[in-house]
Amino acid sequence: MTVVRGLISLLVFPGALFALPAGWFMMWLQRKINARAQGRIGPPFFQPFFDFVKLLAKEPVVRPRLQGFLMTVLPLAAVASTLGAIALLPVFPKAGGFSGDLVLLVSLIEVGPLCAVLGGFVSRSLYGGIGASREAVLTLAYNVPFLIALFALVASAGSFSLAGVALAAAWPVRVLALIALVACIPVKLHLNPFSAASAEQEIYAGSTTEYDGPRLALWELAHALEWVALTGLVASLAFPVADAAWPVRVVVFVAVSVALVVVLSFAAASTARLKLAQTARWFLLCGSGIALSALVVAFVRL
Amino acid sequence: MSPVITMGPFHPALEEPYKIDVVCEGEHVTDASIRVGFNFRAIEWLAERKNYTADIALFEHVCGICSNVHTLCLSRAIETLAGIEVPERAQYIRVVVAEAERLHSHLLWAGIACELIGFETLFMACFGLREKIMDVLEAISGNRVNYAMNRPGGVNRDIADPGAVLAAVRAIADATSKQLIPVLTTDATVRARCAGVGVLTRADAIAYGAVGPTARASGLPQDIRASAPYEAYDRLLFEVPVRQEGDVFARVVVRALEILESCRIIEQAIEQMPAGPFRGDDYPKVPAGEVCSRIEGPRGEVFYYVASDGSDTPTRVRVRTPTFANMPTARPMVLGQTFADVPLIQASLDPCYSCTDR
Amino acid sequence: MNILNIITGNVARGPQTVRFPGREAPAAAYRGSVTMDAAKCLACGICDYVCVSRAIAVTPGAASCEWTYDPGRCTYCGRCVDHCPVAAVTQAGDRGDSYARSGAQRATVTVPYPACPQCGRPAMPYNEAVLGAAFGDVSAELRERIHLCERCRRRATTAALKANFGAAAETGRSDDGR
Ligand code: SF4
Ligand code: SF4
Repeated sequence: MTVVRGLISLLVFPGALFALPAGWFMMWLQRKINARAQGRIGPPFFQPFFDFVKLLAKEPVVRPRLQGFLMTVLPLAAVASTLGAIALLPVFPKAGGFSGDLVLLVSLIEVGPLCAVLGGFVSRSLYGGIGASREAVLTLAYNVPFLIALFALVASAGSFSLAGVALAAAWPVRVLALIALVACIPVKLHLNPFSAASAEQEIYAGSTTEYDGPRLALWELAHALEWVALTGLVASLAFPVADAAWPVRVVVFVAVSVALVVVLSFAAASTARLKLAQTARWFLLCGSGIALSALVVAFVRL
Repeated sequence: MSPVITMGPFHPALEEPYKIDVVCEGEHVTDASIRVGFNFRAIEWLAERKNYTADIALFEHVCGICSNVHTLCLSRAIETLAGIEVPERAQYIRVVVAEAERLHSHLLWAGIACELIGFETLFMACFGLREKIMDVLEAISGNRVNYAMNRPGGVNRDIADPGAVLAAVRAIADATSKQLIPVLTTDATVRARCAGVGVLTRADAIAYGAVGPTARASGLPQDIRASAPYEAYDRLLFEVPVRQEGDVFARVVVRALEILESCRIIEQAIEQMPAGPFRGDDYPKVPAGEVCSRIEGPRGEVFYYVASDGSDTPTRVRVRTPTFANMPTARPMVLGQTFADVPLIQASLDPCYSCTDR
Repeated sequence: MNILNIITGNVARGPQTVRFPGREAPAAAYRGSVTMDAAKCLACGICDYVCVSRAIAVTPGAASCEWTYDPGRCTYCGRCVDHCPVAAVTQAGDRGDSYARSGAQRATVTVPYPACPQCGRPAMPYNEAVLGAAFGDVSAELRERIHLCERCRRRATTAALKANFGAAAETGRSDDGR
């Protein structure tokens, strides 16, 4: 039973069958909102899907064998781990096993950026290298508030499971911690104002500059899945509905995710890109400040 | 060994092909050099083989953004040489077109600066505004880019509908002062990217001979429209915005204020414009001799030297574009800055390497 | 927060993009591609002379003149329109079609020479107003003579010379040439 449920959540909901279209939808929505905010029409609904299919159909550039292998395996690992993280989101009826385990989920989410860093370096492009080092610096920077905020939630709820946290975290802690978490999402998704890692006017596409065809398609896939994983993480922590009937949970999950996409898109459309050092400083000072205050509140309450 | 990061000749941050070699320690820039010459089109050589009428159209193509300043400067050189008086109405029309071109050039630059700091929404806003002035220019001259307005002795076309020009210019002044300038000067992310970045000190500006908005943002109050007025500028009221800071932010502010000043100049010129003839002779008789002429383009001082042997073809035309003077200042500006600032800093000169290469 | 004003304005106004086949009409004064009216043309070649990009070529032949125009080379500067002495050249007010091959839109107009009123052979076209503009006051006799073909013109000149041979001998000859 557990295995079946695990497979369902990995492959059906909230896993691949749901997450892929959802990720593409979120990417489309972000681009559409961005376009409308600028007075443009924006891409057609199926554009992210078309992009993916088109990239898949392209003949890959011939590379040295080891490099080609790494450049395929790294994005694959990013896709697999992000899909795993999505499968752990507690939207489906309790599946037992690792479902909803916060520690595992966070480590799986972190594999994606790590692969991007390695992927940038193995591509042996100058710009890929700069993008990778920026990605690495940013990963370190945003993880400080990200982890503190999660820890505050855990401390407040006294539980390491997502469902437990969602149910039991105190509201002041929850609000502060979620603000810190939401602020970390643009870095991972390369959205303004924290998009230094893929600043096209400086370093082309950053760590994925050298990637082409199917290999790039895999990165695009990982990117789409990251949208679902990150918005899903916040969505499943936002409201204490883990006990409610599963349709309610699904509706809340989807609604909060989409609302987050809208907020992030408008924030991205209304800001310029901060520099690497500025972004890092923001996370180490402001982001961590918010997260730390959540932590303090959590402990004071205890 | 520090890595040399080559930007260009084709790079998302550059509008035209040129190359910037940046030497970096981590994200820190320790040296930089600019290489130009990718756009050489032998325009000066061609000019020595074409008659004056064709040369005016030829020099229109020195620059794709400020095409009008080049024909104006060349026309003025030919007029000085041939002793031609320009009718008063033509002088005002020239001012209107030159300032409209400055508007379009500055708005284009503002848009590109926003694009380089990743601020696409503002980029679209600037370009949307620029579209208005492009429409005005198209309505006056019949083309969006190469206006073909100047001829020795006057202008080719009259301004048929001054009311429409006034309305568009007022709309631009309004949108600039109410939307663009507040965002550019107060937005936290814009300030974070521009303030204190790429400083060109006053002493450096003098040493490198910077011109135009780049010099004015470094505290040098130089503007040929004010210091050596040509056409109708001596009859129009305007201010020359000067800032002391010398950073990218100052250059943004100077250009933003110049947009407002240009709107003011156009309004006055349209209102003061007298009726009368506006074209001169079809074929100027240019005696032997040589002459220099200079005017204030959107990027700074444009300089022309014309030598004639009395035939219908010049023996030499030499062009010095403002970017030629401003280009070397990029190096002191980027030293010690971060790599992420390089696109913005070099763009803050509003460089036009195609004009420089000719 | 000013940027939010811009964004809300943009969202409220809706997209400003014009979808592909649709296009804003050009301004009334638009300088489009060049056409020439063969009935007016004098084959003087001025349009060729002022054209910076050699988009126009005027090639006189024995019985007619070839006037070719290549929009692919044209810079649409309008000098030919401005300088044509008889306003034979006009610029279209629309943007014209796009085309894929260089030279695909090259147009050739043949300017036939009118018949000589005396012998009927082709004679270079001429316009009396242009004659006045170029040479100032010209006697009525010369004014007549411009419509002749070259041979008839030469004949008329020879006849006139014969009639006034003495005067011509005084002014038209020198000793050096012998
Ligand atoms: S300038 Fe006019 S008249 Fe002369 S050749 Fe050209 S079209 Fe004909
Ligand atoms: S418009 Fe200008 S470039 Fe075109 S044919 Fe006429 S003179 Fe030549």
